[in-house]
Amino acid sequence: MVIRFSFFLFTFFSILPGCKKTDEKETAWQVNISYQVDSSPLQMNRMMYMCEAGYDYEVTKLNYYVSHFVFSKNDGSQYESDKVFYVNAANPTTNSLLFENFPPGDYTAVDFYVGLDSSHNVTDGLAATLDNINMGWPDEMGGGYHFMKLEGHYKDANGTYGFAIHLGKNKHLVPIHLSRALTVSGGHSSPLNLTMNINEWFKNPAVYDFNTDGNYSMNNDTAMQKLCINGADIFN
Amino acid sequence: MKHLALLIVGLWALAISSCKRDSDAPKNSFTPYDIQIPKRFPPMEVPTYNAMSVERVALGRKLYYDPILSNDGRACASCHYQNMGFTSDNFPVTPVLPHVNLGWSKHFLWKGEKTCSLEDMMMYEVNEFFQTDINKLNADKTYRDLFFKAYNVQNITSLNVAYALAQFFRTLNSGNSKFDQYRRGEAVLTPNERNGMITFFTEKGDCFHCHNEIFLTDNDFHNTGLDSTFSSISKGRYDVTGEVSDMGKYKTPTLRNCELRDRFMHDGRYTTLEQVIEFYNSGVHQNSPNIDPLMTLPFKETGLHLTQQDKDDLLSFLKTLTDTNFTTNPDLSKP
Ligand code: HEC
Ligand code: HEC
Repeated sequence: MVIRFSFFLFTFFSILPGCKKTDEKETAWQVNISYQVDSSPLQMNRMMYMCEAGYDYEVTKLNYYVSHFVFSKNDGSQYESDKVFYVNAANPTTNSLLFENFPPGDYTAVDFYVGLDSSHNVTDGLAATLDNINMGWPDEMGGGYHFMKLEGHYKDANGTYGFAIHLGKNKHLVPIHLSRALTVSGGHSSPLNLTMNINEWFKNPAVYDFNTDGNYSMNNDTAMQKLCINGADIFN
Repeated sequence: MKHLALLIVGLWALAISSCKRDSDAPKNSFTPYDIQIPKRFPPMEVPTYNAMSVERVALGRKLYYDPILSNDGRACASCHYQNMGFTSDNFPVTPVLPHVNLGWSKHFLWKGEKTCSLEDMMMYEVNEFFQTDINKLNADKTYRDLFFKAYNVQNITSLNVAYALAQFFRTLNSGNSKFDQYRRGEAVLTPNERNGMITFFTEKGDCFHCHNEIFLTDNDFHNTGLDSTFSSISKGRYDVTGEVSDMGKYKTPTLRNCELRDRFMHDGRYTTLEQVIEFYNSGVHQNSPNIDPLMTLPFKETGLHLTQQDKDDLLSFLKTLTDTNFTTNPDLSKP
């Protein structure tokens, strides 16, 4: 009797996962990121861009995480991925985000964070890799990771200065929402191509001025908050 | 029946004699070697073409300490001393970079002349730096046997030498300093060391952005503002890349075991850690062309304003990065 019952349990549970499966098989699918400053492609270490506040500037470093991707369909159903991606604007391979097991379908929107969701934003919350170690946010300041490091130099009438926009801490996540008609099929689907416009960090809704808001965001929650709000529309 | 018995005895004798012959000749052998990765460190990538073995590591270690590799009596260990964390003050021009945790490194040398695998880096050391005379190794019976055993080769090439050295380098790992033990909850820091650690890992000293918590280097290049102009002989990473934005940039050295060194920075301009700390505190040339943005934070414009106590404590903290388990590990010493 016991044996028969456990056999029943076994067959019951082994059938269960089958019910979850969608009609089409999951597929590998990619999101690609590229960079612009308004209409020009971003070239690192070139003092040739102008931000809304009117300063010439260059970018020397842009490293960040994107996480907690949610893809939505018209019928309200969603695909959530728990993947975390480290992106270095200067390293092309990190700008292709691969989803190995993507459920095919017609999607209408994508949401994700620039930064790490709170479950990953703890010391040793990510695998120990050279990049993750470099992004570490020391325990002495609360632990976890930097969400973003955007660094460079800018010029005003008086001279050239450095800037470093570092974001971190759970309250400074940058939520991204994009309405997009995306068709992902089991076969070869075109990737989702996203472009980050660096200048959007420094405008919309508020102008971010290095000289008055701070060329360094470290220890400056007001600056970080402003950048987070501006950051909502960096991708298109 | 008699014949059969004779045959068996004969075969047995033959078997014994062939065994004997076998044990005289060197046999290729591969005993897998497990690299001891310190806690919280990333896994180390080992290329499949040079899989780790006990025989290969032992051979690499022997080569590291053997002047046979050079033509002037020097061994690798003539400038890279274990008791100084595999560095020394034994080179007149450029301070000797330490051999520690290089299995995770992508860029080698102060200006990053080499961005490659450890195997390729060793090829450079053997062929270009030492210009090893491979005939000397091939004329040496012990080495011929050891290379046959480790790499199954009759004729030793510089590639074999480089591979064996790379194996030994992958065992030169330091991750058991007092600071590591503290992070793992196995040691307690003194109040002074703790205060120094806070300076290091907060914006107060802002050291951690380049000297990260695990490797104490970010494996990248920076101009820290040591000079406001660059000499015509050395313009840093620019000499390698030709990029103007790389002028004055040098590889961030690891601070592991820095207490044991006595020449600091790419030109050895400082001989004590106190001097280095004073440089960060009050000596940074803010006007240096393309100085790293992290060196010009607003509060740094007039220096870090560390008190004498803060500086002493920062020094105490830097000393917690010394790993005597590493500098006295018998497996890494001269065989
Ligand atoms: C005469 C002294 C001397 C000897 C002998 C010597 N080295 Fe070095 N080593 C140096 C110096 C000086 C540097 C730093 C040079 C630079 O960056 O320009 C260095 C750097 C290195 C580096 C780069 C480390 C890093 O962090 O980038 C490696 C690897 C290395 N040596 C391996 C070896 C090997 C292998 C041998 C033996 C075959 C050897 N060295 C023998 C002086 C020496
Ligand atoms: C912007 C990145 C950066 C920051 C921030 C930084 N360092 Fe460095 N550090 C470097 C680089 C790069 C070098 C080598 C510079 C050279 O030789 O030109 C170096 C060299 C050193 C050395 C000499 C090591 C040796 O073996 O020669 C020590 C010690 C050191 N730093 C400690 C510190 C301390 C303490 C702080 C904080 C007060 C700090 N660093 C902040 C990048 C940085």
